[in-house]
Amino acid sequence: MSEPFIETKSASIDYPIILTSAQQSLFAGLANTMTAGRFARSGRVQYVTALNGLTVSIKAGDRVGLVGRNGAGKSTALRMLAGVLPPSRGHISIHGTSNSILNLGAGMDLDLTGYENIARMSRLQGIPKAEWDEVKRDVEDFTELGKFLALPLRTYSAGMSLRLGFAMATTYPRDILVIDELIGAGDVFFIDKAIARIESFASKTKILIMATHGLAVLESFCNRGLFFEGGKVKADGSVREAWDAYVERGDV
Amino acid sequence: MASDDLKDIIDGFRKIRTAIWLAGEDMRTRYTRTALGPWWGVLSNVVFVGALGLTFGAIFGQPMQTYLPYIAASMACWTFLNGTVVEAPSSFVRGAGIVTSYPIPLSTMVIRTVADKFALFGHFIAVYAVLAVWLKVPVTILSFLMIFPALLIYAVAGYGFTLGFGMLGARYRDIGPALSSVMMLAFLITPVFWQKVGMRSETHWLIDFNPFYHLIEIGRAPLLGYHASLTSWLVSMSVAVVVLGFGFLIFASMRRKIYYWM
Repeated sequence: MSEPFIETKSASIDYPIILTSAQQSLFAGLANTMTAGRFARSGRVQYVTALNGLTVSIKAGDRVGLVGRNGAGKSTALRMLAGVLPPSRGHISIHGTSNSILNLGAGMDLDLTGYENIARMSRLQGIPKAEWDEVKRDVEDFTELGKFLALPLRTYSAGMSLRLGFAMATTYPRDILVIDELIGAGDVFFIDKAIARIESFASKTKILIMATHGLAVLESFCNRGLFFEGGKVKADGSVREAWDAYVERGDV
Repeated sequence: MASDDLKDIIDGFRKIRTAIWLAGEDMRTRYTRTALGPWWGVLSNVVFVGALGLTFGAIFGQPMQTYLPYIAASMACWTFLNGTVVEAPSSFVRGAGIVTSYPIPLSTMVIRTVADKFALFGHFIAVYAVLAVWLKVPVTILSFLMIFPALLIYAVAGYGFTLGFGMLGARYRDIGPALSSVMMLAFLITPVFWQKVGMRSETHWLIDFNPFYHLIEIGRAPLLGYHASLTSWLVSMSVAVVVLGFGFLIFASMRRKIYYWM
């Protein structure tokens, strides 16, 4: 199998700002057009450019850390690079399979038991059926949820479902791993365990892309840094270069 | 259609098992925590066919032996068509959580909706099958085999419709409720529980121009042991092709932007 890579060319993402429900109404829109704007003052939909012309090439072996202030476009870039959000303008080509730790709760059903949710998420992730037993064992070991796995998710505390979501996101390695900020991952005992698990999981993937605000995390996980500002990449180089560019803006 | 759009559609078919599984889950969720499970659906259909059959059969002066299977077969087809039209606009919105978190194509949600509606079709077919055996509906093998091309046309039309209206419905949220009202009206003006034969001939155009009439005809004729007219087949095929083309067009022009509106 060929090596995975990600390439983007002037990829931009514009989010619509939905202020009034009339902007999602066909009839209000039509009435507005036909009366030359006299019917509703909802006006045209405004867009915010969250990511502005990203051109980047990521190859196998790259461990990319994204730094920048809140709202600089890191999370949007991560979603796009993970392949779950297509660019509204420009191009992206993703070669290889990917895994992401972006929103851990996604794909969980409160009415199903822990075990049923494991099967559900295995299916959604496209994990081959032959591996499901192994996944189940791994998640049992890691989450330490014991008998709770046989109970519906609605009986879980927030921390417990988080553990399950995290375990599922880090059980079956793919070519590409995309991680957003590792914060608030459960109780004190869980954090160390989670970091150890991420370290071993990340070492099994060929491309790692993560957003972080910590230099220590950046230095231990990454070999390349991207500094984001205002939806653009302002520095692309070593971890140090990206971090220095970030710090220079006087935000740390 | 750009290659990305085509890839989404092809991936949807390659992962068809995921779509069908999701449809099965929709079915399980629908009847979750009920003692009868899917039999609730069948039971309510039995009540529906029975009540409608007895009252309207009496009003129209129809013999029960032909009228009950007629209603069951008509309702099976109508349930598929109505369900698809009504649910198409929310298909992508419903699947937003999944497609933005997992490597699953948007078109999976289209197959999911169509598969779910076929399951509802099956609920009525169960009622029909019992009636057909009990009341000895004169089904011939040749006429019955025509159910397969009919279902293919349903699948194509349903897929195209959901592909297009799934997009439009995510962007414009009032399309869903609007279509529901339209279908309410369509149910009354389409010969679903009443029959064309009783109509005066100068009013036939009212239903000859109604695509739902032709679509229902090709589906129920095989179940009742007669052949639908060539016109009905031609109209249904044309509807399927046009709707599929429309679906591809809308999908290709809106796919990239729709993620932000879901």
